[in-house]
Amino acid sequence: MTTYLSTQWRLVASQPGLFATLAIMPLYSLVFYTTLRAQDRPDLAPIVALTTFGMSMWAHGMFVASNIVENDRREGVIQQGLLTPAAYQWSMVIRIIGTTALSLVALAEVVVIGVLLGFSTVPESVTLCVLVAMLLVLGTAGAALLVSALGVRVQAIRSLQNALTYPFYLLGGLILPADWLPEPVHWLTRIFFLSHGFRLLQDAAAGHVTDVTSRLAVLLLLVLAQLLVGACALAVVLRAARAGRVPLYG
Amino acid sequence: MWDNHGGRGSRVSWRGSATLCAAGYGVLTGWRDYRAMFTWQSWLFGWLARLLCQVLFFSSLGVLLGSESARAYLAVGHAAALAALGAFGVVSSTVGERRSGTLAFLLVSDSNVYVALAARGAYWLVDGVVTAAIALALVPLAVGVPVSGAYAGPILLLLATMGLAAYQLGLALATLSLRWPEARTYLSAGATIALLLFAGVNRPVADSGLPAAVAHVLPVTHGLSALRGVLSGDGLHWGGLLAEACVALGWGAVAYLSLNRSLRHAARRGSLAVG
Amino acid sequence: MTGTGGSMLAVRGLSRRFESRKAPRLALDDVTFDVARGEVLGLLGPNGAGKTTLVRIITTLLLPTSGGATVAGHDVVRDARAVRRTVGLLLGGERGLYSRLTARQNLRYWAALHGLDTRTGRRRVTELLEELGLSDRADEQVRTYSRGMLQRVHLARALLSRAELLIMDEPTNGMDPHAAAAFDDLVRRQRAEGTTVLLATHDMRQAQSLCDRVALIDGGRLRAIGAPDTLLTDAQLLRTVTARGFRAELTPAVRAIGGVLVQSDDDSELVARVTDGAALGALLNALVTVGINEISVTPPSLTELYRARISDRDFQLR
Ligand SMILES: Nc1ncnc2c1ncn2[C@@H]1O[C@H](COP(=O)(O)OP(=O)(O)O)[C@@H](O)[C@H]1O
Ligand SMILES: [Mg+2]
Repeated sequence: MTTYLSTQWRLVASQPGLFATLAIMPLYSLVFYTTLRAQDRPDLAPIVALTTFGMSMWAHGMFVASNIVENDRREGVIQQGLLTPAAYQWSMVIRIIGTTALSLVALAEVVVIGVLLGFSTVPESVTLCVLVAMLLVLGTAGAALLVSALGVRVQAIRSLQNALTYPFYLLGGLILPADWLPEPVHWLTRIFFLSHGFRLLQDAAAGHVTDVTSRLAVLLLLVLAQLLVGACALAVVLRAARAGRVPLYG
Repeated sequence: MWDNHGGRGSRVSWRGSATLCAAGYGVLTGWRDYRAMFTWQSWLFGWLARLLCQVLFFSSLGVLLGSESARAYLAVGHAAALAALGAFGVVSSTVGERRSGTLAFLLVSDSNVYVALAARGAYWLVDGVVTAAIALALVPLAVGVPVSGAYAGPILLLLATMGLAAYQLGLALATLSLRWPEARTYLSAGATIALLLFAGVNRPVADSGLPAAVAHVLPVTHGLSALRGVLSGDGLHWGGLLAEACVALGWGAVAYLSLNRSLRHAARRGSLAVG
Repeated sequence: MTGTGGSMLAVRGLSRRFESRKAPRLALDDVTFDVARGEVLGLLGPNGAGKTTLVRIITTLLLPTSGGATVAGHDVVRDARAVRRTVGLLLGGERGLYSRLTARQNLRYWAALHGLDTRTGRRRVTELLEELGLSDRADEQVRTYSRGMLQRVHLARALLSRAELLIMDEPTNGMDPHAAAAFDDLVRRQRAEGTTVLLATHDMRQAQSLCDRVALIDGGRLRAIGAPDTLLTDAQLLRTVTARGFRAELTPAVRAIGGVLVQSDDDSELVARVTDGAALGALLNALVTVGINEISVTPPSLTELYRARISDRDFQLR
C-alpha cells in the first residue's frame, strides 16, 4: 500500500507544473487586500481572504484534473490504464484527491499574507474553519474527478478547464452570497456544495454560526454526493473507453 | 523542370513581400489552431461566458464594498483588462512551437522569428480586444453602470492599443516560456497579477515610489486611464493613447530583440533543445 | 577557414561538449572530413554517436565548442545567415509541420519564411507538390497524412529554397519498405540534379545504395570514411558462399582448398567464407563437380562492416 501511494505521489511530483496554480492563486489576495486598503474597508479582509482561498482551491482542482488527464493521454498511460480499469480509476482518484488536498495550504497562506499586511484575517473559530475547509477540499476533488471524466471523454480539456473557473466562483458565492445571482440559477446554488460550504466557512470565520451540526451534515452529504458522482462518471467513461467508444488519441 | 543554374541562389532581393506573406500565413496557421480549440458553442458558452463571469466576479467586489463608484471602477477596469489578459495567451501557446518541432525549422530558415511568432499568436490579440469590447458593453450594465455606445470609436482604439502593448509584453515573456516551458503558467499568471495590482484595474495607480514606476511601464495603465476619461465624458485624452502606444513600442523592441537574438543564441549554445 | 575549392562542406577538428553537472559529455570529438559538390555522404553510427549534433552544428542550430565547419565556403559560426540560405534541413519523425494546415499551406508558409516572395513561393510549391507526387492530396490537412507522405512534405520543405546542401537526419526512420524505397528514389533524383547530400541513417541498405561515400561515427569520433566498396575491401571482409544439398563427407575436401574457411557444414548446408577470387573459383568448381548447384555467393555488406567496426555498446554494458 505504501509503495502504491508513493508511486502515485511520484507521478504527481514529477510534474512540477501541477502546482503552478497553487503557487500563483494566493497572490490574488494581494489584489483584494490592496483594493480594500484603497477603499478604506479593512473590515472586509476576512471575507476576501476566504475568497482567495476558494479561488485557489477550485482553480487548483480543475487544473490538476485536466493536467493529469492531458499528461496521461499524451504519454499513452490512459490506454495502458484500461488494461486494469479499476486500478487506473483508483490511481486517478488518489492522485486527484491527494493533489487537491494540498490546497489547504492556501488557506494558511492567504491568512498569513493578510496578517503581514496588517489586516485581521485570523478566523474566529479556527477549528470549525479548518473542518469546513477540509470538507470543501474533498468536494472540490469530487468536482475535479467529474472534470477528469469529461476530460477523457472530450478532447478539448484545456478550454474546458478554462471555462470552469470564474462561473463557479460566482456560483459558489466566493465574494457575494450566491443569492445575489439571478433567480434562474438559484436551484443550482442550492445543490452546489461550494455555495453551502462557503457560507458556513464565512460564518465560521466571522464567529457567528448557528445550526452548526445541521449545516455540517448537509455539507457532508453534498460533498459525499459530489465525490460519488465524480468517481462514478470516471468509471462510466473508462468503461466506455475500454469498449472503444471514446477516442483516446487525437 | 528545375533550372539549377538560374534558380539556385536567385533569391528575391526584396524580402518585404516574403515577410508579409510569412506573416499572412502565420496568422492563418494561428487562426486554424484557434479554430481547433473552440467550436462556436464552446467559444460562446465556455470562453466568453467565463470571461464575462470573471468581470462580473470582480465587479461584485464593488457590490460588497457597497459603493457605486467602486462598482463602476471595478467593472470597467476588469472588462478593459481582458484585452490585455487575452493577449497574454501567447505566452503559453508559443510553447507549442517547441512541442510541434517547428522551432528548429523556424531557426534554420533564417526568417524573422519575431514576425513569425507574432503572426502565429495574433489571434490572441484579436480575441482579447473582442472579448474586452463585449464585456465592456455588457458587464457594467449588469452591475448598474451602463457604458454609452457613443464612445465606441475611441474605446475600441484604446482597447486595441492596450491589447497590442500587452501582446508585445506577452511575446517577450514567450521567449522565456520557450526556454522553460514548465514556467509558462507562472509567467502568464504573474503578468496577469502584476496588471491587476499596479495598472489601475482594481484601484487607482500609485502616485509615487516603485509601484508607480512599475505602473508606467506596464501595458494597460495609460490606456485604461484614458478609457476611464472617455467614459466620464471628457473625450479622448491623446496623451494617454500615445503613452500606451509607447509602452507597446518599448515592449515590442524587447520582444524583437529577445526572440531574434537571445532565443537564437540560447539555442546555439545548446541551452535550448530544439528539433 | 576558406579556400575549400570543390568541397561543399568542410568539417575541421569539430568538437562539441555538453556540460552537465553529473558528467560532461563529448558528443563530437575532433571530427574532420569533406563532402565534395554533388556528392552523397552517408553518416552511419549507433544512437548517441553524435550524428544529430553534427547535423545541428552544420545547420547553425548549435555552436561547436572547438573546431569549425564551412558550407560552400561560409563559416557556420561567423556567416550563419549565409549558411542558412545554403542548406535545406530534413529531420526524421513526424514533428515539424503545422498539423492543421494543408501540405500546400504549410509549404507556402515555409517558402515565405525562406524568403521566397509570394509569386515565386506559389510556383515553387506547386512544382514540388507535383514532383513529389503530393498534388492529389495537397489540400488536405497534413494530420491526415501517412508517415511516408509526411516525410515527402518534409522533403519538399527542405527543397523549397533549392538548397545546395541537403541535410537529412534519419529521414526514413519508421517508414515501411515501400515508402522508404520511394524516398530513396527522390533522393537519387536530387543527386542527379547535382545537389550535395549529407544523410544520417541507420539503414545500411539505404546507405549502400544511395551514398557515394559513407562515414562511420561512434562515440563522437569519425571511425572510417570512404566509398562503401573501398571500405569493404580495406576492411578485408570476406564473401560468403552458401551451398544447399551439401553432404558432410565432402567437408575434408572443401577444407583442403586454400583460402576457404568453413563456418558450418551441418545438415545439408555448407556456409563458408572465401578470402579471394581464386579460392572462390576453386570452391565453386569443387561443388559443381560433385553435382551441387544450388549455390549463392554474398558479397560483404555495410552491415558487416558496421558490425566489425562499431562496438556493441549496449551489449557490453550488460
Ligand atoms: N542538448 C544536449 N545536452 C546534453 N547532451 C546532449 C544534448 N544533445 C545531445 N547530447 C548528447 O550527445 C550525444 C550525441 O547525441 P546525438 O548527436 O543526438 O546522437 P545521434 O544523433 O547519433 O543518435 C549523446 O550522448 C547525447 O546524449
Ligand atoms: Mg539522432
